[in-house]
Amino acid sequence: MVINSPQIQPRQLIYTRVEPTYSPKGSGGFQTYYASPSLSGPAKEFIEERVKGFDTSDPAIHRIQFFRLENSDIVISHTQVVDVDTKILDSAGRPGIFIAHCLIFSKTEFYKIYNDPFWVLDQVKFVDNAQTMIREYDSSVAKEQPIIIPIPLSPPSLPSGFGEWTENLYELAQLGEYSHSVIAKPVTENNKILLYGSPNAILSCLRILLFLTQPIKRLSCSFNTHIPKSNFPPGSFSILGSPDWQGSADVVVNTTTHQVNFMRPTLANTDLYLKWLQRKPILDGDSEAEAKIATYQEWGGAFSYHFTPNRSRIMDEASLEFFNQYVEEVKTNLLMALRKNFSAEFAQIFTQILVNFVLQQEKFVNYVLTFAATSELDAKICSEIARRWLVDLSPDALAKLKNNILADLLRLATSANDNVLKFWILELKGDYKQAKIVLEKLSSNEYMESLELVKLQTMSVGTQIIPISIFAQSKYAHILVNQLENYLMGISDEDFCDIVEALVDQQQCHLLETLSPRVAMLENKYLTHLENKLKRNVSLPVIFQTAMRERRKVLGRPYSVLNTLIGK
Amino acid sequence: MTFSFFKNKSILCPYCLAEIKYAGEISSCEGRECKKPFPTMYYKNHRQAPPFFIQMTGWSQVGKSAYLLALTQSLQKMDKFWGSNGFTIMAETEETMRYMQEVAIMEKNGSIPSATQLQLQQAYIMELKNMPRWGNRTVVTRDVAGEAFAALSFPLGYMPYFMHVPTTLMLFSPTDIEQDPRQQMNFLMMGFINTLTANGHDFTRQQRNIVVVISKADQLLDRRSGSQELSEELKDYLQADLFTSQASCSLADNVYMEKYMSELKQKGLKIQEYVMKKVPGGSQFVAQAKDYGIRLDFCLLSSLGGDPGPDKKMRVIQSPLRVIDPLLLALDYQSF
Repeated sequence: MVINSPQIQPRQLIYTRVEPTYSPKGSGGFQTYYASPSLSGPAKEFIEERVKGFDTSDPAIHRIQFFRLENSDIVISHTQVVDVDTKILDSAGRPGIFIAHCLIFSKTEFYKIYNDPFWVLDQVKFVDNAQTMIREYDSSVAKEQPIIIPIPLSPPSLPSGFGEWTENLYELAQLGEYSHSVIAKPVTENNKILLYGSPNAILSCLRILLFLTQPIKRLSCSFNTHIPKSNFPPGSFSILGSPDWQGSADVVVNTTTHQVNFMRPTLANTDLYLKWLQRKPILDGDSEAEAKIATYQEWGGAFSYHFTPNRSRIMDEASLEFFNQYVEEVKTNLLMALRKNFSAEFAQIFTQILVNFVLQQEKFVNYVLTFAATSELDAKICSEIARRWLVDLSPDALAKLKNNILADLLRLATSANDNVLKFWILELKGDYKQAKIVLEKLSSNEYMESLELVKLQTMSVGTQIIPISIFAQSKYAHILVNQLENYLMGISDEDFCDIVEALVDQQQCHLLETLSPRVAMLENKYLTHLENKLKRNVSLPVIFQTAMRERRKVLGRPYSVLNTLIGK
Repeated sequence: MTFSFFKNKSILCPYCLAEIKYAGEISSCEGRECKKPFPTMYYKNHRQAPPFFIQMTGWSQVGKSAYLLALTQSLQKMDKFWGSNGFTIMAETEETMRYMQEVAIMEKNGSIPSATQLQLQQAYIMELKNMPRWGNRTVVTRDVAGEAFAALSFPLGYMPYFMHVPTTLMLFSPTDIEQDPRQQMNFLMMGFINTLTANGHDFTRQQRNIVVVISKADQLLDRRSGSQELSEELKDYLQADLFTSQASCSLADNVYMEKYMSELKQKGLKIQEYVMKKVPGGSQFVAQAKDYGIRLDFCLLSSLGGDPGPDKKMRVIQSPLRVIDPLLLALDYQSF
């Protein structure tokens, strides 16, 4: 049995300077003082390389680093200068000794906390003095103070510092957009964002940037909150924090004044992202607002970078709002996407169909938005929408559908493997032979769905495009007969006769019993027609035969053309 | 007929020590991985003030950073002695300038340098102009954490000059060695020889020089140092530093410096005797050097002039002793 633990326990590494007595390798100096036994040698070396340089000029500096190992494990480290300790750390009593305490998570573990490093930072007390370190960690006996991180019940909420950006939403939006693009690239491409200002302002800005980043993308991110002047390591971190603006980066952010300076134009289209930010009043602790932001964030990212959004972060109501707000952008994207597969005319029509469908029914909004964002056609959804469109079309409009539109619809039906739509389009095209073949292949469900297009309820008007009798030519004719029961009296005599004949041809005479009440309304001409057709049929249900006899009694002599002409 | 005036021009990159041959103009290193821009003054003056690279080696806490600090302090005061020659000192990079300022602050506060981190340290580049005897030289050096020398094979990533410089300053503290036998002198020489050999150095074709610097020599002045106490002659030599701020101002010209250097080398022989007799691993160290044809010079040094107090600030006014000597010995190796 698999039990989902409600908490996770990362592995640990502590890097500092120790005297030989406390050194795992017996020599004094900066080194890894402790590492969880399961950490591999290369992992330890990688972490050491990342944490070993630290600006100790200001003892108040706390450095936070977030990065990934080559095996995709995630590391969060905290580094700070510690008090002089001549016994444990440095017998010469030199200043500038620091302790870097690192937590290492597997990808799976980290996903459980929404890939959010700030959740960890908010929970953990890192080692910040020599005494605690030697008391709680001892590599010779693999003793470590376990660090337990609870798994949050919900994704991270809106950071409190977000409100400070309300006057600079444009900058924040651009920054959010840019961080997406930086994070999406390999770190070796050396795109960097430099955040400068006080340590707290840098952390607050980072918290917002991470919040604005999809959980899955957060894993591609790496940051270091304190890099001293002119000391930007090449290809190491994509987001750097620094007390001063010095060095080169593609984006430089003054985290105190919230000014963002792009050193070169950004390629990402920030329009969608910007608009949602500009019109969203953000209230701390407002869960609905947060859900909306998450939804907008997903769609903003999806439209900018053409990826499928994370459905779990999407709220339908907010999606609809987004749809309404950006309906023109959505239409443009849909049109371009449809043009890849269909004729220009069909693309034009079907774009409008999709948009109208969402606006009227509010259903499939997420599918249509995804389609617009990614250009990846969900043929099944599209064919279902096409079917619903056909149902709503008047018989006149149906009859006027051009061949090229029908051809595109047929292509859509084929790619969606939608036999219902296929059958109907073949009927509309007049390809009855193929239509009959498809009809024979239908499942009972598909058969029922196909019937929907016949619009049984309006049959009395006699306006159906497809003769209902076709449906009687199927092994599922009983379904038609059952459904007809409700609309029996509205069927024309002609249709009734066609249905009866089709059922007899299919040797399903037993079904005529259900249709018996309609016989009492038949005109003489059609009763006579049926009598002639069925007179040698011995398997007619008794009720049906009786109904015909009764009707004959009422109508008198059978219909004949001559009698009609002489007026009898 | 055209003359190629610019043929055979070359410059040593101050960061990776690659020799870049060029014609016309060059402003950055063309080495495969370095590519760093040269400091303007370095590039402009590299022919008039040839670079002089200093590689320091020594165990953790032996006083390498303290020596760099004391040397920087002392060089800034050398105009008192070399002023008649027009001596000037000038930082050639932003980092060097900042370091010189930090040194000034540390001197004022009487604080000691931080523990050096195990990573590639900044390069400090200072132009020394109009020195008597040595003329103009550009001193290029990097600090290095002592941990880097703990293994038999030194990690060269932290010490890019190690393989290239003909002269190395090797610091030892006899009192530290007394307390920790793992730090005895011959062990460091093993690492030195092994690292050079493993990286393709041929001792038979290229001679190496080591300036052996006995650091924290102030601790060897009294009886508390036990068997390691310096002889009276060496005590006098250490304390009679002619180039301290307390020393009376005297004009140090070429003739003076020549005499000074001659005496310095003579005293070096006495210090070698001291090392061989009193410092653990000292005689083996000298023997190893001889075996590999490594030339040795010896000097004494006290970067701080005394022990820092319990709060690690100097209890007495910082009074470094014999700080300039290791530099002068190394300069002499590379000049004559």
